[in-house]
Amino acid sequence: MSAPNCLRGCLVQRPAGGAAATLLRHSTVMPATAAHFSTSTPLHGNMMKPQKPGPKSKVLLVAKQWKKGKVADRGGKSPLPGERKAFRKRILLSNNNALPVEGLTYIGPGDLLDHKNVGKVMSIPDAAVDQLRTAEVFKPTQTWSIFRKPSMLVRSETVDLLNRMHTALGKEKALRLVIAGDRITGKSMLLLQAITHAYLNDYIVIHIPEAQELSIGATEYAPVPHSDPVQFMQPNYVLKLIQAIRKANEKLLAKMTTIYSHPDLPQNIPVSSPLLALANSAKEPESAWIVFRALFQELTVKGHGRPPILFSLDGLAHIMKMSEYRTAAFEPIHSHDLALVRLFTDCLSGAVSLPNGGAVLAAMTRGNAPRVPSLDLALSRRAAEQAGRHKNQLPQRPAFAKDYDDRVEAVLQTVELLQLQGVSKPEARSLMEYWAASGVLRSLIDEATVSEKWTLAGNGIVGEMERAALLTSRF
Amino acid sequence: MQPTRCLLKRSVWKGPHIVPLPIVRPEPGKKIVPIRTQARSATILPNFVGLKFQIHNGMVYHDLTVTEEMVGHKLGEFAMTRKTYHGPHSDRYKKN
Amino acid sequence: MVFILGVNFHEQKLVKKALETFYALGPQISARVMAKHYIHPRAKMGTLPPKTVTALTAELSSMTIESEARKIVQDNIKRLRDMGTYRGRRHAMGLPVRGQNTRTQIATAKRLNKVERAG
Repeated sequence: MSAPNCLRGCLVQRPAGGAAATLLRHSTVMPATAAHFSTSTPLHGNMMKPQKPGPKSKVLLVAKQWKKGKVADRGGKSPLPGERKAFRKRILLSNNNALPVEGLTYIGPGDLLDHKNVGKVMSIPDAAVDQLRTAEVFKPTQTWSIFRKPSMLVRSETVDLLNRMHTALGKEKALRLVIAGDRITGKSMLLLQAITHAYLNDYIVIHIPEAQELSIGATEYAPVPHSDPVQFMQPNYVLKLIQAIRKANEKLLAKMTTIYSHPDLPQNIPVSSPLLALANSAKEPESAWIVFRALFQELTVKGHGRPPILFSLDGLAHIMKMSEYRTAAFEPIHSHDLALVRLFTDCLSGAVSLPNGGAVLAAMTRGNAPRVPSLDLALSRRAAEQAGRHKNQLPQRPAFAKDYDDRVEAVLQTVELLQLQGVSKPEARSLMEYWAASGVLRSLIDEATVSEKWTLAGNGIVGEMERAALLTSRF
Repeated sequence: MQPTRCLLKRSVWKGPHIVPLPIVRPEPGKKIVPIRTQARSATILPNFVGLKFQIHNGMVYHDLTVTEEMVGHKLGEFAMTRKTYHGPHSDRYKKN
Repeated sequence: MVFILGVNFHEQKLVKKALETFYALGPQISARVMAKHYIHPRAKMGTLPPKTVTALTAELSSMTIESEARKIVQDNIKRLRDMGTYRGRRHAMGLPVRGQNTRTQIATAKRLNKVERAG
C-alpha cells in the first residue's frame, strides 16, 4: 500500500518533488487510522521506507552476530530476579474489555445457604475480594482475568457444603471434610466459595493456599524447642500466614481480647489486650510459631465472643507423605511432624476441636499431586461408608502392600467426603449465559449449545467446559 | 583411600589368591636365593617381606625385593611386560 | 556476598551448590551438612543467618576437604610410584591406568593422571 492509493492519500495534497520521501514515511503510520484489513500493510510500508545510510537495521545486525557465534541481542531487557515468578503468580481479577453483566448481584452473608440461589452466577463483594486476595485463595489458573468482576456459579454442592457448615456451627462443632473429585471439577473453587461465605459471615479464616509449599522443602525449618517427639516449625511461612490472617480478619481480631497471658512471647501482651496486638507482635520469623500457637489458643477458647474458625488447605496429598526435609541425623521428616501441618491434621482428625464451630476443609488437588496410596484408601473407605456399606465390607489394604502409612489413615478416620462431579445442565446453562453476557462466548446459548459443551466437557466438568467454550480461539 | 576399595576387588569368601611358591627361608649368613616364578597373579603375603623374587614378564625374569608396603599387591604389578614406546622420531631410530 | 571458609559466594547461589564447589564435598555430604544445620534443600546463600554461616565454616574446616583431600589422593599415587608398580608408572606417564586402549580417547587420562594430581 502506498499513499496515492488510499483515500486519505488522495485528500492530502501531494507535495511536489523532494518532499515525496517524507510523505512516504508518514504513510507508514497511517494504516492504523485508515483501518485496513490486513496487518501486513504496515510491514509493507516499512519495507518501502527508504533506507537511511546510518545504522543498519536490526535484522541484519542479528544475522551478523549469529555468524560470529555470539549471543544475538534480542532487544529489550531481561527480567529482574523474581519478576518472572511474579508474572507467573499474578492474579488479575478484572478485565475492562469484558462487558458488564446486568442483573449480577453481590453475594450476601446468607445467600450461599439458600437453595434458591443454586444455578445463579453471583459476584463476590469487593471487601471479600480483598480478603480472599490477601489469603491467596484466588489461583492464577482460574479464569478471573477474562471477566469484568469476580463472579462465580453457585452450585448445588456449594449450598450443601455451606449448609453442613452452618448446621455444625449450630451444634458448636466443626465440619471436618475433604473435597475430592476429578481434575478441574472445581475443588479449589468450592473451597473459595466456602471461604467467601466464611468471610461474609465473620469467621476467622486460616487458609493454606498451597500445601506443597510446606512439604517440598522450599521454606526455612527449625525444630520446635521442647517438643517431644520433635516437631519442626516453618518460621518464614508461618510469619507470612499470620500476616495474611491479620490483614484479612483485621476487624474481627480488633474486637476480641486476650484471655491468657502468654509469657513466652517476644513482646509482652497483657491479658485483655486486643488479639490484633497479639497478631501484630509477630515481626521476626523466630517468634512466628510461638505467636501463631498463642493466637490459635486464644481463638479456640470456648465462648468469650469468639467467632467460628474456618481452617482450610488446598492440596491435601502433599501433606500426606514424607516431606523433603531431613532431621539433623539425616532422617526424612514426615509431613505430619511439621508443626503447622500437624495442627491442621489434628484439626482434621478431630484431635483438636474447634469449640466455637466452624469447619476444617481440605481440598484435594489433581494437577501435580503425589500418589499417596493410604490417602486413596482412606478416602475410598469414607466413600464406601457414606454409601452405606457395612463396616466389614470397606476396602482393605492389599495384602503384602508397601507404601501404606498408618498416620495418614488415622487422620482420615472420621472425616466426611465430598466427591465433586460435573455441574448439572441448568447450572451449565446459567454459567454459559454469564459467559455470553460478558462477551467472551460468542454463540447463541440455546439447548443445543449447552448440551454440546456439557457433553464435550465430560458431563459438565467445569474446567473442561471453560476449555471447550472460553479458552479456544474459535468463537 | 576408601575402606571399601579392598573389598570390591575380590569376594571376601575367596580370600587372597594364594599360589604355592617354593619359598625357602634363607639361613642367616648365606646368600639369599631368589625365587624364580611365573605366577604373576600371586598375591604378596606378609610372610614374603624381605624375600627376593624373580618374576617372569613373558620374556625375562625381573628381580624384586619385597618390602612391607607391597603386601596385598600382585607379583605381576612389579614386572613390566611392555617395552616403552619411544615413537617413530626418537633418537634410536634416527640414522646417523 | 557470603563468606564460607574464605570463599565468597553470591547471595542468590543455592547453598547446596555452594557447598559442592569444595573439593571432596559431593551431593551426599552436602545434603547431610545442610540437614545438620537445618538448612532446607532450596535455601540460597543470602537467606542464611550469620550464626549458621559461622557454624558452616566451623563444620567445613573440621572436614577433610580441598587441599587435605587432594593430598590423600596424591599420596596414594605417590606410594604406587615409589613401589615401582605398573599403576604408578602409568600415572607418571599420563596414560590410562586400568588397561584401557590408548589409541584414541585418552584425553581425560592425559589431563589428570600425574604423580602430583591436581583434579
